[in-house]
Amino acid sequence: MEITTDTLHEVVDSVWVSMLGLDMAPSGSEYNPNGDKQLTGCVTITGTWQGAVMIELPEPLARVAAATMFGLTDDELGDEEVLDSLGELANMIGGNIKGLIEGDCKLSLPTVAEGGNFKVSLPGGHVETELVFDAAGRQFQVQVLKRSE
Amino acid sequence: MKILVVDDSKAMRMIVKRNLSQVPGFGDIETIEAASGAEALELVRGGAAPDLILSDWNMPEMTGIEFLRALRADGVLIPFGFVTSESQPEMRAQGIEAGAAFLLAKPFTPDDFSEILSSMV
Repeated sequence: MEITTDTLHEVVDSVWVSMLGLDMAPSGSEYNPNGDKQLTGCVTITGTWQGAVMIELPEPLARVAAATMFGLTDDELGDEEVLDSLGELANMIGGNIKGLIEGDCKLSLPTVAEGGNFKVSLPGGHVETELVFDAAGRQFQVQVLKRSE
Repeated sequence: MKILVVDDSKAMRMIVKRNLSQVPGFGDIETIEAASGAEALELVRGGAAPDLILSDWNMPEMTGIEFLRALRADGVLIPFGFVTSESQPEMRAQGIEAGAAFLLAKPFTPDDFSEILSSMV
């Protein structure tokens, strides 16, 4: 089962727009964090299909999403709320990708990493699909990584 | 009505609570929270006595389905619904077979939430 860019767009749209009520649109340029601190949320899928789903975004945009999810202002948000929200976004996107895959698969609990100088990779895997979106004046990127069969 | 909201994500517990306050017919709601199936089971065994339980599926320590099965094994028949990103038909069937009233897939809109929860009034 191939996760197409159209499918990924639909899944991300349903999470970002329907759940958060925030606007977003596919970006016309490559992902560029512009020096902001980066946050990455990731879930893995194991079973008949093996891979991972990652959402990567700059901290200011992660705070916008967290503020919406918690119904708080930016001043009221702590790191815990921001990381928790990003983990839940990864969980929802990954869970919906898993729902499209045939066969018996398991979804991991989400993992969140922060910082700017790291790269997440899936040994034996490749980026099957990736999309960059514009939202609230910044970009975020969602990748589906698949382990080779 | 007392509702137990079980999710390892604090953000999701907040979203569920916010949506609960908008369900027609629910009236005054008291919510209690747990971050895992194990914590929720301890609350119920300790006498928390909610009227309804809304639970995530994937959680550390004890999953939602394990929590539901433990409740039913204890003879506790409190209405139970899953609110989860697990939306595959097999998991839905597994949840219903274990005694869940419904499985609401995340993401959901406030209307989706109200529609499915209204059936529990």
